[in-house]
Amino acid sequence: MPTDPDSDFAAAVRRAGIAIPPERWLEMQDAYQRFQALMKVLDDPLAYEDEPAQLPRYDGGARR
Amino acid sequence: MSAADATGPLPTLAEASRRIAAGEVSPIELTEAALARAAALNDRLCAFIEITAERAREAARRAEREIAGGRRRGPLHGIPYGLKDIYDAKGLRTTAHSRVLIDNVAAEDAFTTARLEAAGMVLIGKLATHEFATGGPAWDLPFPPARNPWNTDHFTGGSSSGSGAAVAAGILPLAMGSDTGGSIRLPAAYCGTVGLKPTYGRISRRGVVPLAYSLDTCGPLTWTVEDAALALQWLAGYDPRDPGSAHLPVPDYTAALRHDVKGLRIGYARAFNDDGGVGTEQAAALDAAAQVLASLGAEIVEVTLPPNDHFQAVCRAISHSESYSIHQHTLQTRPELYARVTRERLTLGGFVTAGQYVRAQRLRRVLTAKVDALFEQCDALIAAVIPGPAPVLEETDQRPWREPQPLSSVFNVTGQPCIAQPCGFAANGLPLSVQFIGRAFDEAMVLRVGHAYERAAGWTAKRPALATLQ
Repeated sequence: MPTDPDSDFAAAVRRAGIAIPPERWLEMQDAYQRFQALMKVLDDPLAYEDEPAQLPRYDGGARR
Repeated sequence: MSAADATGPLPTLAEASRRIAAGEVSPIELTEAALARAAALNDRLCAFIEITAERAREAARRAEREIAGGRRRGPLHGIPYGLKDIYDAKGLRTTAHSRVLIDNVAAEDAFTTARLEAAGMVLIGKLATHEFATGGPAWDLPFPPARNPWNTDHFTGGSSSGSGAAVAAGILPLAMGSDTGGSIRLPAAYCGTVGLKPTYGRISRRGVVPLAYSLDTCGPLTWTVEDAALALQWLAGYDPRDPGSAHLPVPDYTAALRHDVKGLRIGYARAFNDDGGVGTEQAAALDAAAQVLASLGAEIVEVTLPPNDHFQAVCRAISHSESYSIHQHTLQTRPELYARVTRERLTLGGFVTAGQYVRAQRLRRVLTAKVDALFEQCDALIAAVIPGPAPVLEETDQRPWREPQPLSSVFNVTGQPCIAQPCGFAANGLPLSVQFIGRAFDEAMVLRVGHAYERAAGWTAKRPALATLQ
């Protein structure tokens, strides 16, 4: 995994298979970095039993 | 309605229904009034991308014959409505406001369209949206962005932008929207209408262009809470052809409106105002809304939601990933078909890793349990839906990463039903809004609280000046 921001973004673009016009590169890189910064909260540890959500919720949510 | 008052807004669903039943107005008169208002206002509002006048007149004549012949189908028979242009209506284009689907003609009705047609409603046209219900207002699309009837220099909110504009301007008493991160409630809030996001699974999404499978919900925008209840009564129900449809009983929503709020415990997420960057005017309006409910006999207790950035991270990871999975092929092969802002925002989904997506779904379950737990001590919640009044349209964020993120997405993550409705006006004359939230599948409680508040607060009496034709 590249550690410098420019290489990291370039690798992500290659993996996505998306073409970004040169004139939009810096704006998209900034968006990518803001997005990844927000994603940091997903790195907080979760318990093993915290499985992915299942929707819809046929139990109707909390009981009265 | 007589010809003499055709310059005013169309009556609400409830009022139109009563007047049709009493023989005071006919489906043809209502339809002609809606078509006349659409023709007069659409140049300024850009709410409609297609007005289906001949189809509407034919449906109105049919409704008139049936009602005159004693075959009234129900309370919505003969009343005009509109569809956000991601809903299929057989024989009409569903473009999603995009060049990608510019020639896409629907082979059958969406589940919801079929329900409204079976109720005898009259389709007036297809309404503007943000492209594919995402992106934002854009000027490089086949159709212009809708404008706010309270001040056409301002944003409608989105993505159900034309739906909010058409209802606020009194062209339609009912317009369908969709809500993945707030797209019913945001235009309702900025345009001063009611917007109901039901529980995920309550209304079928079949025949509606998807944005993010595990977040998408369909719902109505109306002028009053009573109208939202009337619409939901016809729209709710199990659909075996929608894999996300819930097989649960549908209660009598209009009956819920007959109950007051005395003795209910209502949780006010006041701290969320600061966490969500809510402005002074909007925060004061939320405080006042809580006080109105207290004056009606509800007990207001402060509650704390989990941190806003947790909801935002979960919503963004899921919505971007799922929408990217839908658009990946077209983004890679024909990117020029999208507006620049849509293309760039969709592209962000290509950067979400598998680990991030699954962790987001895991945190989603944790957040949902925490919000569900609030309903062990409360019957309903009050929370902010917008940080303040609608911004100027040309000043809306056109960057690929939108700041700030919408407050509304909290309850898309957790799935509970919520209703956005007016709670005052800012100093610049634009609407402010509050949302009431209920337990999963307890839309009846949301409507009950919203209706009680609406009647006590009286905000529905004020329409945009533009709604009165000269």
